[in-house]
Amino acid sequence: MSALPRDESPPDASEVDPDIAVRIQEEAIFGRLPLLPQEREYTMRSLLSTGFAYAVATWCFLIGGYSAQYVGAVQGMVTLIAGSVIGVTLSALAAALACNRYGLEQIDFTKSCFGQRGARVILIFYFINQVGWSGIILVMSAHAVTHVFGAAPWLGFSLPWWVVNLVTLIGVAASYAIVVRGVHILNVWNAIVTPGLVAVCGMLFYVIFAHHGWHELLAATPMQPSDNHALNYAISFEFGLGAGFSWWPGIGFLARNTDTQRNSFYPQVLTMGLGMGVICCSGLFAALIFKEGDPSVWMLKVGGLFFGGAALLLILIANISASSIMMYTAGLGMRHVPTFRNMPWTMLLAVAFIPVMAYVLWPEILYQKGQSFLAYNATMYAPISGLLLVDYFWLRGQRLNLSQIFTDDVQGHYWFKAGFNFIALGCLALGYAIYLYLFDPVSNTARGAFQWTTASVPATLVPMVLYYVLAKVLLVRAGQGGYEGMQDPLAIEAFNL
Amino acid sequence: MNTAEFKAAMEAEMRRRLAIMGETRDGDFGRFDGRDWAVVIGLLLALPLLFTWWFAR
Repeated sequence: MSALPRDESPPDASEVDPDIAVRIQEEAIFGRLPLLPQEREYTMRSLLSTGFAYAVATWCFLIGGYSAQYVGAVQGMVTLIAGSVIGVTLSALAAALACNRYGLEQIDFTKSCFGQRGARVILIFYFINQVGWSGIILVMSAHAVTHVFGAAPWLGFSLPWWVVNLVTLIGVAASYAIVVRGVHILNVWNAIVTPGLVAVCGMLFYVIFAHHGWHELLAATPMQPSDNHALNYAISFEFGLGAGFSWWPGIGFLARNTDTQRNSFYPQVLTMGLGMGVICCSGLFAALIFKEGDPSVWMLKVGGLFFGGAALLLILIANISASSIMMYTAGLGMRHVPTFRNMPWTMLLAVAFIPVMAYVLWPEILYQKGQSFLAYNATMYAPISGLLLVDYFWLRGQRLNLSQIFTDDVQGHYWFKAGFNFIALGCLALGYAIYLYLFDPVSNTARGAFQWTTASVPATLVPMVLYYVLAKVLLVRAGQGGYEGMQDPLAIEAFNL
Repeated sequence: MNTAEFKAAMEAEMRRRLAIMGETRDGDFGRFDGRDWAVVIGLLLALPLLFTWWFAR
């Protein structure tokens, strides 16, 4: 490969057939072509509203409810806010800045660390996470609808069993209709939803404090604490950290569409970190007072049928928003699979939504079993974030060779060995093992030094340090991974598009 | 739409974009400089300290 001569300016898309030019433009927005600065839609304001609508889904209230089992109001507030801000900060740093600078889709960015084929390992976890959580929050929305009707016996009828299936189907259809129209419609949708969400969250805090007061909150005891106070604290902190790290799959999609480096990072920390932490606290407070962790139950207790029902309806709409963003990123991720590379966006999304349809058919089974599976799946994001951080900032000095992302040439910078960076993947497996040794995310059983270190912190730091040393000793010296390669665009014979 | 024609056009478009984005220099999308790192380190250090302080109370 040689450097692309400067005077060999490639032809513009506008010089080709107009149909093809339109399709290519679509490929930039719905595909993997690097986004040019003039094509990016998110400013600070729109990113704040999208990030907030993304962050305020039902899971915030659930996480608060989980913390209420172990800690009281003050301890829960500190651990949830601190944990989610730290988690989002670490997961957003590398992904946001790199995807913003190069207009890259997130899985394409991971190729620089894990290798052209190794990134597909990450893609599997990424796709399962996005599709799985989309289905679960849509089922949660359906449960909320049944609870609202269940709380109004004067209506004179009870809802048939298939209402959960029907409402989930409506949610799936609404998400598809939004995503198929792209980022612009998501922006418009979120501009409508976000003010309503802010109002609902404000009202929730107002009602809790006005009716019960700070003193009652302080006096409220955790629901199922262990005898070990340090362990209770660490578990609640781990919930916050885990919630923060879980945003990793959504970071690049937003950053890629953003105008500046700072705008790609701070709004995500403010919304998915601080914003989510604060909203988690409303779930925490309500669960402490009502001794009930399910938001679709306690919201009706907080606000009554009218206000509580309206709040649940808005949360349901926000769930559709969050589901849309996740399915958008899942669709983009599928572009890495050769079969789907040239498929039109509408059809590609239809394929992506097929697994979500399983939640329409078997909502209860997948809701119960799926959450445990997704909890194990999400533990990968702490070590992934740490490895990308070391690779992008300390080993590459924030510079990628963009052209090398898009070639599967065995001489390419990011080919490593057979397309895999086995050192990074090994460190990732180590981080995953450390996490699961220290903490079982399903049974909340802790072991070893968990109460002093949590699980996410060592699962992030140990792989980071080990990877830095091994990459310096083995990869840089062997000339693998393009760590000391030139940054200029290189002529490529075949793209992996 | 002819698949070969579309593929050729896509490759041409990719080359054009690589030429633009591949030459991105530090600061083209604004800077994430020392002040930003101070904020990041502050978040990563201050929050655990706050957490520890609450725990120690």
